[in-house]
Amino acid sequence: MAVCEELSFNVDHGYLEGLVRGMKAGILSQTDYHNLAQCDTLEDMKLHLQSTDYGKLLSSSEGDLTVSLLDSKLRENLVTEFSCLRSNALPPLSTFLDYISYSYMIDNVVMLITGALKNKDVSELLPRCHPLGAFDQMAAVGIARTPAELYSAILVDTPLGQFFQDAVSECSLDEMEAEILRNKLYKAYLQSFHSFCKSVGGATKDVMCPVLEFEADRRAFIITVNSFGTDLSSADRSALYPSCGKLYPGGLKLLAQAEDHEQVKAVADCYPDYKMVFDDPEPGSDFKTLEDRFFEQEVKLNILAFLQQFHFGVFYSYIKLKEQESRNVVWIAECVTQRQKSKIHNYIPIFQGTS
Amino acid sequence: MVFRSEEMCLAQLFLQSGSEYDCISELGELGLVEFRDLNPSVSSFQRHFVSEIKRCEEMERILGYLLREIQKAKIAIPQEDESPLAPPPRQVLEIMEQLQRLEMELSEVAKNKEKLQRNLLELTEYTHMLKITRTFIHSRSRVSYEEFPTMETDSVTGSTGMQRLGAKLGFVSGLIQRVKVEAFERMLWRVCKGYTILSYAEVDENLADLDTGEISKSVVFLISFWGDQIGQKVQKICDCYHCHLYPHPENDEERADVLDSLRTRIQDLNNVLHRTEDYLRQVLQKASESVYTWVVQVKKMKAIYHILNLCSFDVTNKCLIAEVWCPVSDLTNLRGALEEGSVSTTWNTPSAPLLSQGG
Repeated sequence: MAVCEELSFNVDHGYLEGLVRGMKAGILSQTDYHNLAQCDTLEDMKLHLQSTDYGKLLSSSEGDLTVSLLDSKLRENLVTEFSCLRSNALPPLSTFLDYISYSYMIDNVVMLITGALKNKDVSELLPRCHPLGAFDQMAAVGIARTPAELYSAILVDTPLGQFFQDAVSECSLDEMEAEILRNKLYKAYLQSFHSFCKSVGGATKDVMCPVLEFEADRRAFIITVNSFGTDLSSADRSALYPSCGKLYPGGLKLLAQAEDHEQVKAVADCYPDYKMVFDDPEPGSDFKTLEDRFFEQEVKLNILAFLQQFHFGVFYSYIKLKEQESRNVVWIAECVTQRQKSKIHNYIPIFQGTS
Repeated sequence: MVFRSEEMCLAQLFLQSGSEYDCISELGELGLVEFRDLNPSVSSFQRHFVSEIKRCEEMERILGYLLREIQKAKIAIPQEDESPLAPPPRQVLEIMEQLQRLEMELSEVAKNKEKLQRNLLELTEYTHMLKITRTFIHSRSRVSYEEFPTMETDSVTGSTGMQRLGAKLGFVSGLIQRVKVEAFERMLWRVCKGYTILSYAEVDENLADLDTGEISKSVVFLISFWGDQIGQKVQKICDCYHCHLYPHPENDEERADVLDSLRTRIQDLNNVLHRTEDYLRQVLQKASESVYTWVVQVKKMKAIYHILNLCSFDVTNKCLIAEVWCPVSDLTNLRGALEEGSVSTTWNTPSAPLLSQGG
């Protein structure tokens, strides 16, 4: 109910919002990143991480400390926090948190399909799946030969079944088809999530809809840029663009016709938010990839979620910011182990100027 | 007892480089003073005593593992009334060695025990499976299906009517958890489009799942299918639901043979398992006697090194400088503690630790 959210929100969701805000206070600060960048070995990083919210995360592990162990421990930490939130959540927060996990499920499904195409064993692929997107029927995904079979035999009972309306087709699954399937599922998922947030209304709508619109537009741009040089026709491409973003409908039409990077930039110039992303970097600053710039923009949008209270956006933003933090820490760890200190500051800072 | 309005003074301590550990230990036991951080700009991994702290943490890790194992075996840890003092640095190596030895021994024995338990579980499951699938086969041969020809088994070759028709009849049998049976059946039906027959029955005994430690109900199932491709799909679905599969015997004699050999193997395994468990218990019992002391000692040692990290090292006089807040009325106690600490070291220190008072 949009009116007087403040009066009723805390009854069901107050405890979890408090929990999430507490966890957000533990996100690594600029000083932490500064100290981590000064480390010479992973052992030093482990010592420093003990003084942060991560605490004894790495202490009880036996065996050598490697970057992949660090990555999996950070991920495990995030999954524990998410499960704690999800198991205590009541509707509609529980539905919201489930929506967050669906994007990981889609990634897992596509990874298992491409792994099965390369004849890799399921037991080898399962540990590489993201734990937030785990579901029972996951291991059987490799059996399907076409998206239609995938849907009717395996995924129909899972939450992903609702995203299959456009994606059911009879062409057999190969690498290209798997990518197309991923994008179609993701499009249906984003649109469904967007309309859910709209229906919840209030501050959730005000916070989440811009974030999801940005996500939709970002996907449209990335699909376009990645499809240069492949067989994907512009008609096929436009079927993959999510329609819940700011680019819909005019920008998407222009993007479908774009054939090179310049034309994409021209489309982006019409929208002030995206103009910044595609701008040429100022002379003297570091070169950043397009993906990095989109990540930066995403971090900015996610930080805004914490300025309002009594809405679900904080949960989404917390998960995304924590993921970005994991990416940052792993990047620093890689630079430390490979002794490439020059690029060590290419992480994306999250809370600048605040503690 | 110290009141909030107690008059405090800031004192500077000069600790000789041989006796600083013992002095801090004495001060710690008395709980008199608060140390100021003289190295605020140095990060935690660049401080002086970092390697000692890492050693303490390694010991803490081993102690944590020991405590978990002792608790799992439900052995009580005797708690002493007096807490032991922090050990001097030379004793530390001894403790470290003992702990490492214990850890190695314990992990080996625990690994062995787990292997034996897993083996035992497999054999038990296999036995159940053989007994229960027997009832399926025998009950099925009495009932005749309308769609399929009656499955009379030819006693010499053991082949059924369908096999003589050329279609290969395959069996997959095993165990699956009770909660997953409905989803399993549904997926089998959808993927194999009805070319399989699934029969299942519950196991009476509650078996423990070794990976999670839960005790849950299991179900023995038998899938009969026609064709190789279906067979592969069935295998994949079984993998997906983490079923434990066991080979299905061809006929009754083979079944009886396997059952017999399983029975003897289970008996032997039980014996070995009991002996291993007894030995493990012995080791843990012995460890539990000194574990409490070690835990406290390591904690105190780590705290001392943390405090030493707060002090600044004066190279010219070869001593450590510490700044502390101390109640004025306790200054004599402070001096006494420092003397105690320097006396307990056997080194020939040229002079006692100095205490200069600030404002």
